Amino acid sequence: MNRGMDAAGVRLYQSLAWLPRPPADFVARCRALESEPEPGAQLQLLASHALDENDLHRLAKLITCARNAGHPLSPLIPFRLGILSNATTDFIVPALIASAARYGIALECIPAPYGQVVQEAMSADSEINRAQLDAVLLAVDYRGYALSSTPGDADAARAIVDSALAQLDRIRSGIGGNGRTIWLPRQRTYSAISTECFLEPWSAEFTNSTAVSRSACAAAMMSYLT
Amino acid sequence: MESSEVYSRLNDLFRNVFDNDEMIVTPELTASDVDGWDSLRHVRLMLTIERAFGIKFSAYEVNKLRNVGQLAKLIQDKVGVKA
Repeated sequence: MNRGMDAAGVRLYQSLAWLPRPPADFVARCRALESEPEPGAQLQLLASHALDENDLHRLAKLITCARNAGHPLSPLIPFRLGILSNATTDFIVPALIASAARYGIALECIPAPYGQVVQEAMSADSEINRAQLDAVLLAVDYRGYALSSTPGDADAARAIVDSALAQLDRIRSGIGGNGRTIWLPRQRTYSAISTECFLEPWSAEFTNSTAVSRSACAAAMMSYLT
Repeated sequence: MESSEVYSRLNDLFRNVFDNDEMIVTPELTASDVDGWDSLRHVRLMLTIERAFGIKFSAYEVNKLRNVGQLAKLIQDKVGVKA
């Protein structure tokens, strides 16, 4: 997150400095919402503050409990997000759910079991492929692609990059082939392999953006390995 | 920082992290005594304490902790060094 960003920039994002501080009675307001039959608007209001990890956990738990209890979350818009990662995602799920409410989204996260990226993508009866998701977030860093450094050997690096991209393609086609999703890549590549996102097929720019992102991704990986 | 002040602040932080207003922090308290004190909650607890006291723990220091008494002592040492 902090690549190319100075300490002040990091603090700005860590503290969400552009948002108002949470009210002093934040916890009490959350507890009051536990018995609210239609808490959506109040949830969005509480989510619009600069919340720390504990506040985010509390709010995410509240949103999840309200959904499980069958309470309408309007005006929040329902959205189901699968998460495939080679890292522990338990820390980010509550933050995603609570932060999504700030943007008017009632987010439901379905994380795949730890390290089961390929299996979950390829298997038609996996939790991810059975969950009727609106999108799948693929959050895999270089450790998930068996990359190894090959100083001065561009051919070996190219072979490793091709192998990593082939694995990424298998994951993508697995999810796309087992559901109604397509690949919408991020346009900025921060690391050797960037986070990708599979979304419903509403992006007309899919073909072009895929080509651009794939070549950028390959170039970034070559630079990283050699 | 006095020991009583450390425990007073820890009490508030534990109640916030565990969402339990009845919680009483004592030197003998351990993870096995508290419902929901798992590894993920432990990480969140340590981060919350670091931010509240303006200190940093190393992974080695965290792994060595066996109860809240040791945690409070570690906090006092770090706050004292910082001062």
